[in-house]
Amino acid sequence: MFWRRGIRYKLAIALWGVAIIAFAAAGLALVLFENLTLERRVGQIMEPYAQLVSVGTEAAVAFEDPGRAQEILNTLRTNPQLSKAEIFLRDGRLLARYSGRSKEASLPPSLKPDGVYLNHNNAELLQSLQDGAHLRLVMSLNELNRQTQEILWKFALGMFVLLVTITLALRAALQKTIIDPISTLVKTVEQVRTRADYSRRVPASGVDEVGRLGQSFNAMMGVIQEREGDLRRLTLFQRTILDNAAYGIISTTTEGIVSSFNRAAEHLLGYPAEEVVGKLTPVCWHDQEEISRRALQLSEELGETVAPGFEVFAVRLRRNLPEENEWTYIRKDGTRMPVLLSVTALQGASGQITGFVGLAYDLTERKQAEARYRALFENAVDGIFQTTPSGRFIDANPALARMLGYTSARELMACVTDIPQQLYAWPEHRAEISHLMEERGVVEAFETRLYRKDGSSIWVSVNGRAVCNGSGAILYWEGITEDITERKKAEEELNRYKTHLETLVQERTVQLEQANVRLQEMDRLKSMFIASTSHELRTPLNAIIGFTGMTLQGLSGELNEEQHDNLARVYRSAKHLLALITDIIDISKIEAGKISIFPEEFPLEELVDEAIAIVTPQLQKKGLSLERELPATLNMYADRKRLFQCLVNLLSNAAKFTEKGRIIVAARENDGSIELSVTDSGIGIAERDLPRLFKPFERLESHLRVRAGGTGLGLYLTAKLVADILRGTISVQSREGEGSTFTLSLPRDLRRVPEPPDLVREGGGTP
Amino acid sequence: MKTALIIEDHPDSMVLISRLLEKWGYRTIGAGTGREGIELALQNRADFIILDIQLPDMDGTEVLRSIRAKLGHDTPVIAITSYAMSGDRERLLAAGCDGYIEKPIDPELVLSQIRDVIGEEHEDTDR
Repeated sequence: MFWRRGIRYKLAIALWGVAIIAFAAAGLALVLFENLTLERRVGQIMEPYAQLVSVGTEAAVAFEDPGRAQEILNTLRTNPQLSKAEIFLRDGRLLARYSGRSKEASLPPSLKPDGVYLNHNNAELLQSLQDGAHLRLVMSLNELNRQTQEILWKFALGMFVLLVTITLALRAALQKTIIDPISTLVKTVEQVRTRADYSRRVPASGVDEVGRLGQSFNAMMGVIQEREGDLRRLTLFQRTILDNAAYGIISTTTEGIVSSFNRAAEHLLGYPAEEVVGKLTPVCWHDQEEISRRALQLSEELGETVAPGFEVFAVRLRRNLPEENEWTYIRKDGTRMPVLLSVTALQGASGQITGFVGLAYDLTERKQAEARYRALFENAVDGIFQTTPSGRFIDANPALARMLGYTSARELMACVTDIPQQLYAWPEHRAEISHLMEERGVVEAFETRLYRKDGSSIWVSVNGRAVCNGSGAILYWEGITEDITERKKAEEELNRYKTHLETLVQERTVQLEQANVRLQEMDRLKSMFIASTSHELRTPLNAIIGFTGMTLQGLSGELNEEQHDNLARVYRSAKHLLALITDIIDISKIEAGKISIFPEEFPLEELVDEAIAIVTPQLQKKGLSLERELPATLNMYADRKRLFQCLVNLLSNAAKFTEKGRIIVAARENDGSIELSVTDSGIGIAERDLPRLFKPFERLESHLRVRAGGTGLGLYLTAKLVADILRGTISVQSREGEGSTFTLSLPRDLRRVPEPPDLVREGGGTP
Repeated sequence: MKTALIIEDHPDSMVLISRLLEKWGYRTIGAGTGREGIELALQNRADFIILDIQLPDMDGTEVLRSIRAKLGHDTPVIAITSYAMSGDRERLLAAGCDGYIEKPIDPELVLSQIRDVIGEEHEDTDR
């Protein structure tokens, strides 16, 4: 009963027990002390009286005077404790006697030596007096015993109170420092145990064992809580993996009873987990025939009988062999599917198998892909191969066999055991391919000739790659062989044509070169022709103009009016013809790139004035005014003569097509270029005519054209000169009936204009 | 009366220039080739020389150089070019010409051009 009580009770019992024992021990000690000190205390009381009697009775003894002795002895009455006093003489006679209470019979003096003797309830003192007499004092112990008892009672009471107080205080202290913390701890531990609440802590302070116990408990709870968190997370993690795994995961006991079945497995097989957990596998979703076949196969393999049941999955694992196999699963709806099932044993700490886990992977898509690949392989037009680097076939497709004249891929692979020697017309090509595979891992469009079964040969193009393992070592080659015999033939044919064509081209090139030489010669002849034409056509015209002019001036005598008119027409026509020839020569030279540029520095104003002077007679004849708006000093570096020619052309055109009003010549410089414009108030140019303006012989459909005259080459030549010689641009703004403005935009300094490579600037004199 | 030496291979031109100069009151001497021209220039001490640049036997500038070498710069030389190419003017002036006339010779202009070169006052302003 005691041992089952709480620590509080046990401690209380212990404390009280100790208190009682202490109480008893103290009491005993006191009694013992009192007894031990009794003789001394008695001596202390009696010895002064004995001394008093001894001194007082000295004379009475000597004289054997009993009265005197009696007197002395009677003084002892003052102490009621002294019950008897007797004086004996040497011969044993009683000299005197005092008795406090009754007439007690005097006892003969004993022969004991001097000293104090304790009896049951009295104490006896013997002392020798002079002359051999003895004093015997008897004292009652009642008084002393009473005193002793009183002391004992007081002591017991005090002791009791003290012990009770101490015990209660101790209990209270223990309650606070040990019992309460331990009870709390116990309660907490019980709560933790029953509620699995690892967040509980106990109040723990102090450095004593109890404090440390609490602290250790709290620390331990911390660790446990952390572990608990970890465990929870791990479980969640596992749960998540299991729920979301792409593999069907099925775990079983060692006997094959399904213990878990994840979502992927549910999805894979169509069974809900609760329908299969607790059942024995292989139950519903395995093909029993397949299990039997596998059992037979395993029996053969392992040399022991394997029952066609769960053991087919476990037997290999029990022997530490891996277990992975393809199986057919039958879904709940009866459909079948191929799966890859990999089974692993779960092992306990001591290595014993505690269960199995199977991972099932749906092979449907892979099988389909394999089938597709196989179909491609079987039906390809090109040959597909897998070979070892040393030259044996691993696989070949029917197309390759056909290409090489064999009836089947099997025959090809059986017959050809040394690819380099048996197939390659040039075995060194095989060595080259081998080299490429090692160096680059691929071979692209490698063309070579292979022998067929019948000894004939074909041209092929090989595309392949080296298939390597993880560490980069070549496992085998695979690739495609294309029969390019026809293409090769075509190429050869093409080559022949090409060679033929090249010969033809060469011949033709020679012919063309000859023709080109002739053409260059002709071009030179043309230039010479133009040069001589220039001279030859102009010489007679010079004579005509010269003599007609002379005659018209009246230097050869007076002319009548008709003669003057006739000659004037001859003169004008000759001048026109000369202008036309001059323009044609200029144009042909520009077009042939034979014209030379002679740039020089000159004041623009001077050039403009010279040009104005040329057209002044025309203007005066028509009564037109001319204004010039020129900067005072503006020098130009250009081909002066050609610019002059252009300006005269523009001015005479303006004069030609203007009947009344004025002509303005203006120039202004702008950032290294000069804009020179001629504005008239003439007939203008219709918008539709503008595009044709700078083309040769494009005289415009103007009502004035009959009267206008001119070569029809003027603007064409001007535009050419502006572009090729002056390196500027010409533009026109015009409104029919209101007049035109022709603007030349020219570089102020020709030296600052980059040279086009095909133009000669200097040299090349008179043609 | 001043004398002009005309060095010109083409007869029509020769006649035209001679006649014009004679009408205007000059004496003319004609030479059909470059060599003849140089020879006559040295013999006759003409007051001025009219020189066709295109001659059958020599280049006009050659003739000019020979004359300049022998007569110095006292005698003005006026060149005649068939078709004034750009650059001819510069070439001729650089070679020592005092002036030049372009063909076709315009009777209305040629007199004043010659007079400008030889330093005579214009007698008339006919055009």
